[in-house]
Amino acid sequence: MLCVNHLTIEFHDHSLPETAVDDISFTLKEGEILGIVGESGSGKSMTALAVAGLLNRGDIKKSGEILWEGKNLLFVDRSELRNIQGKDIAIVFQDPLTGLNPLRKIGWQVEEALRVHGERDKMKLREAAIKALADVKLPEPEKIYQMYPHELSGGMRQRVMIAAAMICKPKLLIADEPTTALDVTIQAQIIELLREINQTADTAILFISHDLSLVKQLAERVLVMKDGKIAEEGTVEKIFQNPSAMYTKELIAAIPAMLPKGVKNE
Amino acid sequence: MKRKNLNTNFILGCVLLGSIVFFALSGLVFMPYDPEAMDVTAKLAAPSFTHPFGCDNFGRDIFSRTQSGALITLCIGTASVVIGTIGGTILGALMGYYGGVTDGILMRILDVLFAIPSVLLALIFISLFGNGNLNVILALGIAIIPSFAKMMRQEFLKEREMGYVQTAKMLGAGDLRILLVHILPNVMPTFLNCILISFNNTVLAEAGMSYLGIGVQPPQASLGRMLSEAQGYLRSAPFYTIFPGLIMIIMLFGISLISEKGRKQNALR
Repeated sequence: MLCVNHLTIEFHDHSLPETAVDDISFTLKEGEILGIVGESGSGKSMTALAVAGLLNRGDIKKSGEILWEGKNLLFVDRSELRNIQGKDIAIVFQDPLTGLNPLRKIGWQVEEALRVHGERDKMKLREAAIKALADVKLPEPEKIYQMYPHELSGGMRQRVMIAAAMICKPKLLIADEPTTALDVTIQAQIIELLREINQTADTAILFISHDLSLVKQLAERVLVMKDGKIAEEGTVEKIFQNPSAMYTKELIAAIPAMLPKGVKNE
Repeated sequence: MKRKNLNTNFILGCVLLGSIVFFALSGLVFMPYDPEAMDVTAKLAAPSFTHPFGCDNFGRDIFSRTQSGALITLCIGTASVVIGTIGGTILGALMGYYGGVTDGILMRILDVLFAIPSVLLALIFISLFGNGNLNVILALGIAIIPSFAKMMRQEFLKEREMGYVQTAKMLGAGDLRILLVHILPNVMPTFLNCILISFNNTVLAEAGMSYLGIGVQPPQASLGRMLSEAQGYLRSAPFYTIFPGLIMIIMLFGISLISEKGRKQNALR
């Protein structure tokens, strides 16, 4: 469904060009969960933004291809891209605190994707928004529909963001560090929610994180990125039990383990 | 305590501005004399029951002239602020949101316009296109645009980086929709303030232009026009200056008080 070939992203905003993503290729099948892990600056978010079609700045040079159902998203028209954004491909960002417009009601913001893609019927919009809010397990969706972002907690806002992204039933949901700004218990709930979305709506998920243990819980296949390149690729089992790249081994060793008292973590 | 103070000022401002607007509009319903009718016998007559504000050097009733003058001043102010607001917001939004080359080019042009005083700018415009109320409105409107655009640019630049703009983008919203529906409500406080401040400036600038003789043309009255006509009679007929001046002071003071509230609220945010 999604096929990324030799994607390279370079920044030209300083005198020397900098390569953020260096010739990476991967594919994503329908309904699959693919995790991308890597440290800060490894190019994982850039990859996500490129797939979502949000890298349109003039000082960024892109090459290669991102094939989405036969179309190369890198060089498609803006209008055609907007037809795909929100409808077929949606993205959830890292920070739910700024991701919502402070002056608009939750309901309005959840409806936005439908409205942008041509739905005008107020009742239908409302119905869909309340259903989307219920789908992400928010309590009392009718009440939340009427609320403003500042009345919700961080975890609830992230659920709202997911509801807004999922309202058009996209085929691909890109989750760009969706849990980084949340605390650990909420993290687990969001991961659970993403898994459910994947199973019930059959939405493929591109899950991006720097946290290997989260990726291990959710993804089927994992890409390990370092310095804009793919260090290793494989199924979760293979990566964790039998890592081949040195970098992956180091990453796995860096996961804090639960050890009995007195035993040192080497 | 502070908040209460702010509100009193705001209400006072509204009352002052409202009473002037009422005064100006009342002229449409009731005006004791034709503001342009001359009466030689009442030349420079002092305030009395027949002429509450007195009469000017042509024997025209100052009360009636102040009424119609205030209305014209308000109309010119409003119309040019509308032009300035539309132009300034569009330019500011384009510059702030897109940035890059568009921003660079437009900003340099605005810098040049900024370097020329707005009254001079209006003067150039009038000398090119001639007198008349419509041209005065256009000239003043264009004169507002640079400062308005700069203030709005700053706001849009700030909002552009906010997460909700990214969210709207990824949902497939077009640029126009993002600018008008998503960002504009978030810059409302600055937006309204810009409008009030430029309204204040336009009223002053119109008065200044009329004073210089390039604004509203005689025999029509505007507050500035009346002040400029009155300056020759400061000693012999001080009421000629006092009443139009007083009306203008109250109007500007009212607007200042209103805009002050917005400014303080902004600072509190």
